[in-house]
Amino acid sequence: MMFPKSKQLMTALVAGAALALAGCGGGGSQAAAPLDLTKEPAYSGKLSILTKFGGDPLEPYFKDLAAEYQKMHPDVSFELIQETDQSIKDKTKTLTASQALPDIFFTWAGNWANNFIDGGLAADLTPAIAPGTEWGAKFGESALKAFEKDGKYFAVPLYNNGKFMGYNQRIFKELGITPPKTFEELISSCSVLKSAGYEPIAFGNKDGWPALHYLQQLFAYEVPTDVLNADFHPATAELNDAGYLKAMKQFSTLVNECTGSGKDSNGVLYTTAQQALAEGKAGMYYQEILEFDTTASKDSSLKKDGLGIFRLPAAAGAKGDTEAIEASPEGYIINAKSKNAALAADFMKFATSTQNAAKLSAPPYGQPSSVKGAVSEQNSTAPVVEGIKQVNEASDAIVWLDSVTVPTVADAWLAGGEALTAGGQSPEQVLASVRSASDAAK
Amino acid sequence: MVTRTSVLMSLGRVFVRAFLLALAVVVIYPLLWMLFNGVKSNAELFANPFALPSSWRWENYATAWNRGVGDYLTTSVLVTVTSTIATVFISAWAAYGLTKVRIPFSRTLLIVILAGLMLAPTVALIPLVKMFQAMGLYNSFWALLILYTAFRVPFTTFLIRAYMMDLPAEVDEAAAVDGASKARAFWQIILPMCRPIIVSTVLLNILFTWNEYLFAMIFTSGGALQTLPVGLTNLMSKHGTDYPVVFAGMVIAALPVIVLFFAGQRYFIRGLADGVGK
Repeated sequence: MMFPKSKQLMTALVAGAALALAGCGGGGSQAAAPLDLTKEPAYSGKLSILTKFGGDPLEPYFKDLAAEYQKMHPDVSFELIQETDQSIKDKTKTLTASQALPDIFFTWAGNWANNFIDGGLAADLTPAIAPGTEWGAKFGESALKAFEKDGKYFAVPLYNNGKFMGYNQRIFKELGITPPKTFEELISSCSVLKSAGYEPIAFGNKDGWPALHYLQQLFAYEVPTDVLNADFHPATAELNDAGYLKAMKQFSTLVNECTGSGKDSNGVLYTTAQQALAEGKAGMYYQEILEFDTTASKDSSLKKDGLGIFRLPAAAGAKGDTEAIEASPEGYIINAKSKNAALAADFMKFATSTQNAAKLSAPPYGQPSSVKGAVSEQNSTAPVVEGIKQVNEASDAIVWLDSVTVPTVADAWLAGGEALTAGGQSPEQVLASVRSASDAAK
Repeated sequence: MVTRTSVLMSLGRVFVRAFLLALAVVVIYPLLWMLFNGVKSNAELFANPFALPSSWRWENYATAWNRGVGDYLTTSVLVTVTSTIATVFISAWAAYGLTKVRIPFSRTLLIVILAGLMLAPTVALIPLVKMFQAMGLYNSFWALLILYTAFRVPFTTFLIRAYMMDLPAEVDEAAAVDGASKARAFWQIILPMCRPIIVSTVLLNILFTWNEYLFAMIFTSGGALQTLPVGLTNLMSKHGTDYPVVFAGMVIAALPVIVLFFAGQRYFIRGLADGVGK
């Protein structure tokens, strides 16, 4: 059987990366020893950094940081490997498999970061960055917790993100709709928008993850937090809480009652949905904070109409944490095998200084820093400021469903989300197939 | 008088032309679609993806150029030209040695060179990264030049060798009688006689290098070193993509190869046909 080239690449890299991680970790879960950050780093040598800041407009950010740091410490030089959303996974897997990871490298929260932690490739930063330390006090606690494992902290959260329902303020005002407080109110507002000729909620699930973002937020509301957290890990997962079925039924209702494409949404790109809100054709679109400024770009109708945001509301009587929010920072790990680990930590402190954090949050970069107070009206738009405020105030930050658990279970959820959207499977059938994937991954 | 055979022949011609026309539409339409959408706004592209542009926003091309496509194009041209020259000359020399010069173990050498055709780039990726890092060549122009040359030499040698085998031995003998050395015979007699296959292999190598993604993605990073296939993905972002600018970049990337194809299409076909049955 012939495999597509990309599949061959993925298979080879995953196999190589798995071998490398297993080799580094001695075959089991073996986190690295705490990094000694008490001594002053020797300000010399070469720091290599793998970033996800490739391409326009992000590319100059780390270049400028490196140049400024070099001005202060002339004996330090840098090797920047700057990748994009598209290429960072393959590049990281190749470098891991080749045992050539740089001193500092990008990570998502959840299973991706846990692979490096378990493989002993992530330096334990607890003495330096845990909540209550001088450096740790600069960050929102939920951002730090996203990279916490067994009470230890393994990455520097650089910028934050979260999921909110964005709405067109002009349309809501004209139709007399106020941001809904409950899930039931949200569904009833859809009929008002529909009868006025608008698509109530623009939704495109061609990539699979948009459905998972809805599901994860609804699970957080409907499933008790301790049960939910246990269910993310195959070793402790039971996946039999009734809240899952309730949340999946709510999602099906939303798809059928509120979206313009309904059961055909699996054929619609999320960018098409994004444009529907941007051009004033849809009333709402569920989106990440990082999308706000793109959806309401300067030439869009939405910029004139006004972008408002609210959290996806929980249903009345929800048994989970109704104050939790689906949000996940992206961060940078310091390589536990790095000879320049202390210098790398010093550079990351510099990167997260108040001044550099504000620079990161402002245009043209627009990445809302995880450093408290960095996002303000001076450097960010009102929806971004509001979104970050709500993420910082949330009782808990729930990581995306496709990255919080192991890949096989994430794939089962992905297939389940598509089946629920198309109406091909019942919530009971979806939960059964996820449970079976989780059992197989034990 | 119109005979039944002539009617059938005319009908056959009409069907063949209709089929070729449909085939041309299938090939040309996506290119035109890319061209038209490259001059729309993002909103217009999503609202009317199949309509003609309401206004022609040529500034999308300038935006694409300024967002790095100019650098990617320069890198692509440089790496394509240098690796193609290196590949074709190394391969022509190898083919000459294997067909026109008596050397010990030539059969074994031929098998070793052609065995390179069996090596999938994906399998070699991890050791290559380690090797290039150790040599200080990782993330450099040299990495791409060496890889493209090394991975294309077996196929190119295979094609040129097949062509050289058909050249009459009398030519070499005449050159030898006139006192020409082996090197002189190669440069002044054999290589000019191989012009058709050389042009074909040049075109095939340009096509390969221009579109190659895997090595370019793994072995380079940053705008200054990336080639067009990898660089164009930099224009896209999960959180918002200006698609007309991406299409404009794609037009810029496709244009040189399309022009080259039309200029040398007979050599493309010849190149492929010459490789068959040898």
